[in-house]
Amino acid sequence: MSVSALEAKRLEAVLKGDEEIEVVGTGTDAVAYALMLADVDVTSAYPIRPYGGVMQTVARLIADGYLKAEYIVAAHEHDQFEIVKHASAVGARTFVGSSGVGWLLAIEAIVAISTDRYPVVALIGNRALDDPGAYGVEHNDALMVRDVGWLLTWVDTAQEALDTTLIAYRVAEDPRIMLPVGISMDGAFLTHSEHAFKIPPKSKVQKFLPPYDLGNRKLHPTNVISVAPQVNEDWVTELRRQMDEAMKSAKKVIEEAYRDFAKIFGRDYGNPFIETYMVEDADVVMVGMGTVSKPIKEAVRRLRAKGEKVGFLRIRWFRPFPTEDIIRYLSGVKIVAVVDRDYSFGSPFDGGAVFTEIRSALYEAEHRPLMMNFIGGLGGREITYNDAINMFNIALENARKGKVEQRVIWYGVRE
Amino acid sequence: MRCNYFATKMSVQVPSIYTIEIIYRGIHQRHLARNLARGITYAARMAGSVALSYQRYGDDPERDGSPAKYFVVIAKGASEEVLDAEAARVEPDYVDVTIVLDDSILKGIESWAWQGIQPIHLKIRPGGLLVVVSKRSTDELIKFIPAKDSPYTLVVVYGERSIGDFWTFPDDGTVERILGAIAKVLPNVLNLDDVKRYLESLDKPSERISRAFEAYQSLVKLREVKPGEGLPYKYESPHLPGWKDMMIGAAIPGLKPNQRNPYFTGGTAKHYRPVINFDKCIKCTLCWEYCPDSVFDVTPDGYFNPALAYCKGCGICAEVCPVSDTIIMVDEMEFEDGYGKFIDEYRAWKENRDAYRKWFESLLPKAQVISVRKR
Ligand code: SF4
Ligand code: SF4
Repeated sequence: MSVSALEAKRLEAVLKGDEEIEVVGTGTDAVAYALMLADVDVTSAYPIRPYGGVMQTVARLIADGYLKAEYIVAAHEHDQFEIVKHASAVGARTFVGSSGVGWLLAIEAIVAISTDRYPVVALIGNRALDDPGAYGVEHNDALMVRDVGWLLTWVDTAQEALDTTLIAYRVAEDPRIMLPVGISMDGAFLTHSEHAFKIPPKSKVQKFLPPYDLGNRKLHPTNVISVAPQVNEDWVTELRRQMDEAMKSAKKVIEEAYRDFAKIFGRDYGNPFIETYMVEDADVVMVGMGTVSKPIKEAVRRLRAKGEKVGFLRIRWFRPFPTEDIIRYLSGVKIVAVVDRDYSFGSPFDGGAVFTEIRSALYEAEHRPLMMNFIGGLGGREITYNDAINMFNIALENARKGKVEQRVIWYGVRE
Repeated sequence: MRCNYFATKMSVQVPSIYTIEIIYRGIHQRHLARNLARGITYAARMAGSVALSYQRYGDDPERDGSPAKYFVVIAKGASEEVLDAEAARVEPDYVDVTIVLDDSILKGIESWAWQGIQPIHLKIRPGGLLVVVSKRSTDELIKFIPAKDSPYTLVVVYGERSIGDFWTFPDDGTVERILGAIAKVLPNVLNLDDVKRYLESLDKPSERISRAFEAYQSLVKLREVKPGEGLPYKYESPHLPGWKDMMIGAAIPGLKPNQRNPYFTGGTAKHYRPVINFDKCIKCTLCWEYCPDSVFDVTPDGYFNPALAYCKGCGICAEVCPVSDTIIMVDEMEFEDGYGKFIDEYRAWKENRDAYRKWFESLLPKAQVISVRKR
């Protein structure tokens, strides 16, 4: 995963010239190149797979002189996140990341990053939580922080990983937001697979991404402030309300960022919050996050070829949650089938986290669809297009009957 | 179902609730305060009332000597649910009685919350009671207490302040004496039989009962305090900013040298006050450097002047000062100026050195030997 001689020569071109280049690399490589373009100042690292690939590429970029940044190897993940929190407090653009239990070990610092309002950007290489040991993808690691002021996004290609990293800095550092962003990437399927993607020239990135400015909150001998004193019940409600306001403002800021991104880089993601695929006239819409989009889209194409009205909706931003879009596209659909690569034991209807959120959003829909949930692909198990076709067939059968016989299905579980 | 339920509830009379506040020194009196609060609660329950008690949570973890609070809520002849409204509070709005376990806290209360320095009787209802454990008379004590808009009764339970070691409880009869005093002044809440019944359930019952009885009989030091009587200190609750006014991330503007946070003074924590003999000071800077609370302001001519409202009375400055009898620690109750907010030792010395020297010499025999190292 290091930068080959070929890439090295091309990197000169994007750093100095105006043209984009195409390279082949992993999803984590793509993030590393984005950090180079965003001129990240400080990154702290602690190895854990599948996030770890990004550390190696960033180290190589620094060693080869393409990125000037402090690279701090932490004693453990809690340190790692504390380091970037403090670096961010003194005005450094920071990058950090982890996976699975590593991410959870840092949870105290992770929460303090958002409550202290530092626009740290983190890569979460999604990985099953221990125990038992499994390196593969599950989304429960990132979902652990869904309520504490982190903006959370799931990408499904290396290109989107690179682009979203640039967008993440722009959104996080916006004075209206000042909240951290967690970019989730499916372990193995995106962190460890190599795809072609384009690296835009740095000159364009500079037009897109203004320098990081903490304003009057920058810790500096000439700007004496005190951060996070003991305030007890007298202040906490107000401080949480500030975060609520920032999170609510995030939709507008994200929209602006994608609009400018499309203008400057010529890559238009359409609706920033969700990706829709053949949903317009669909009777059954499957919903998912991350790389599960790939096999589901293939299943949609194959079923559409047979005349089945099926579609797919991918959630790109989970926080802020795209409630309006979910209602707009899913109101009136016969069956909404959510594929959760996560679990939420004891939740309403014992479904996954995404299912539960979508069901909540659709309470406001004018025509509430019937809802199903597939828990699947846990611990990194594959979901192939045949699996997706099977799921669609169950949903289509329910749609024909007009009722859902089994609301939550543990797909592929061995009896 | 639902309608019936509420109909039944709404016909219930709201009985009167007595609220007792116990103000104590953090850590050293924590278990004393808790045992007293529990004792009152048990005694009330044994007498057929319902009762509960709670600590002012914001004071916990306590700081060494910082004023902290316990509360007891009692309702006579009522069912448990009558206490529901008081069961999940940070602190009650009003109290009927405030019991002060250490007379030096009479000067003011400052908890961890952003409430500034509150007068000791802030929560007492008009006509309520302020009960103080002290060896001083009510007339002496009134000199340390801020004036209040409404009348109240000052009661002294004669006795030494009961100070434990770190987190310990010297079972020295203070709880029993206060219970005896309550039986005297609040017989409608707990009478002597109620107190006896409770003490009989403990170990060494006859010893405990005789202490309670002694206090009950000897308690004569009551004094009606008229509105406006006391120190001229008016409490203003501090401005708590709205979410739109606060800096985000709980950041607050820092303080420049010689500036201090008006919300967090902390000077009410001190038992002892440092008094400086500027005539002998050699300006070595040690007090200024070692003070853990950055209490010393540097004067234009290079002396170090303690901002007493911020001093915790730890005695470190007195300990590190290399010149003998140059910083002395004097019992806070020797001073009738509140907790030190209004006194400026350096200015007093500048204005009249002779008078200051005489004052200092008068305090010298009262100086405490405080050795931080020995602790
Ligand atoms: S006693 Fe002295 S060292 Fe201690 S807080 Fe007061 S001024 Fe500072
Ligand atoms: S430690 Fe004593 S001698 Fe030194 S500056 Fe302070 S008061 Fe003066």
